[in-house]
Amino acid sequence: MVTIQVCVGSSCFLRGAPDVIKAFETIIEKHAPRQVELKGTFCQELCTKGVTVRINEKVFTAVAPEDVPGLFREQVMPILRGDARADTGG
Amino acid sequence: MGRLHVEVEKCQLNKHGEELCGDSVEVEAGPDSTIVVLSDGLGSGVKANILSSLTVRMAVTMLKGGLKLEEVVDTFVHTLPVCEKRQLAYSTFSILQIFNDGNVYLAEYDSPPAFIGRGSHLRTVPRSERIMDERVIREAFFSVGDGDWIVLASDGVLHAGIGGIWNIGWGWDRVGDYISSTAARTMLASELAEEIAEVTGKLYAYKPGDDATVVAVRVRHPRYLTMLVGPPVNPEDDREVVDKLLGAPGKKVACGGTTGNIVARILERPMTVDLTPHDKRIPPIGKLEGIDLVTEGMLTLSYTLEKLESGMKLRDAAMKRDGASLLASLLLEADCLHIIVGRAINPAHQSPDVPRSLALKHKIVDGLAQVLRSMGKTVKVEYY
Repeated sequence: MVTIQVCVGSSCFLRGAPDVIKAFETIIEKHAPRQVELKGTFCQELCTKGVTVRINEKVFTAVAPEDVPGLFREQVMPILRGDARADTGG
Repeated sequence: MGRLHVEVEKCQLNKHGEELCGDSVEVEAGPDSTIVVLSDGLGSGVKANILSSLTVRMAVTMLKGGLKLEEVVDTFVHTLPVCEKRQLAYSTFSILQIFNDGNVYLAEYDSPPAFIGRGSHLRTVPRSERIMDERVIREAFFSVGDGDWIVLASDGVLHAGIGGIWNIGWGWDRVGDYISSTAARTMLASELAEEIAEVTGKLYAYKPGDDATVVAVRVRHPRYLTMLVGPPVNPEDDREVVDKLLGAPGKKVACGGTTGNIVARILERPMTVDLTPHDKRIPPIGKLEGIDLVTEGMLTLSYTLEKLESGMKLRDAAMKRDGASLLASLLLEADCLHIIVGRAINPAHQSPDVPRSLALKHKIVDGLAQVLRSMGKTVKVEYY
């Protein structure tokens, strides 16, 4: 299970958090609808750096909608593959 | 038990083709009582407007100064301008004085009897007659409590629909039934006044044959709301402001993501964000047990102010689920509001991406306080 948290505080909201959420929703629905949980959070105190996204414990700042596929491929998929292996192993 | 909150709201329709309403209303909320005067001037247009506005102004000023009704009536007789055509100085009046302890004094002269009720029931309140300067004044002394309402209406309301939908107009009994059922399903005096005026307008097919005025008064135990806006400048004050919020009676609101996080931290409860999209301009709301509403800060507040300033009604706000409408709805429902403003500066709001007006937290809070006060609410603003 992967948890993706997108900050929707004032600053991130203005800098396009809703579009980032939409991009994540689309890609999650396509690739791993039941294995990824998408959540919103309020201010992560990293406001000056653009939209803040937390994938499990890792924090990414200044995320734009076009960064979402890359983040998903490089950060989310490896965890999911690891989960799948762990599941079949156990 | 504490003191009662008296909410007064009026709605007027001008006679078709007239620019001025011949009915006047004056409301004076004093330290011990609220005085409401409605007067219907003889005729219509400018002449009626002058007569009725003089009547209500004189009545309020004199009663506030502690003068007796006899003296007020005597002044009317001797000072009101006399109509050339009719050789009369005439305007009707209803005077209502509601004291903070719930005692009420009502005086009526040639005006439709006030509608007095509790919940969905119309009360029968006996009047006694007194003659002053050859005029018959009907008076009543009674008391009101939580959930009671009083509606003053000019005869234009009672005559609505005359010769059209109703042969002899809407009539006192039918108006009374309508008021009772409307009072039972609404909360605010403004809703009550507006709905009665709306039906009046419809019955006249939107061309009122007479000036029509409704004044709705609702009495209740005050509903409190405490709202935290932004984190305190000094983080050591976090606990104090959160304790104030949690210890306050009534509804509790946290405005601002960081503010919500602070409350969640002190409550030691998790906060979740509801990502259901409602209005794409307005940021999502948070869910936190023990707090009635958690919203984002400045964007939500400025949209809330915009909605309230443009006259958003409770029934419209209550139908929407976005943060600003939910907040507007809670603010409209409250009678006594305490706004605790934390003055910490959010570095993100200093960036050139953020519209300048959003950085002006004080301006938005001042605007909110002003629009809420104009609705007769008590607003206390405190800074940290």
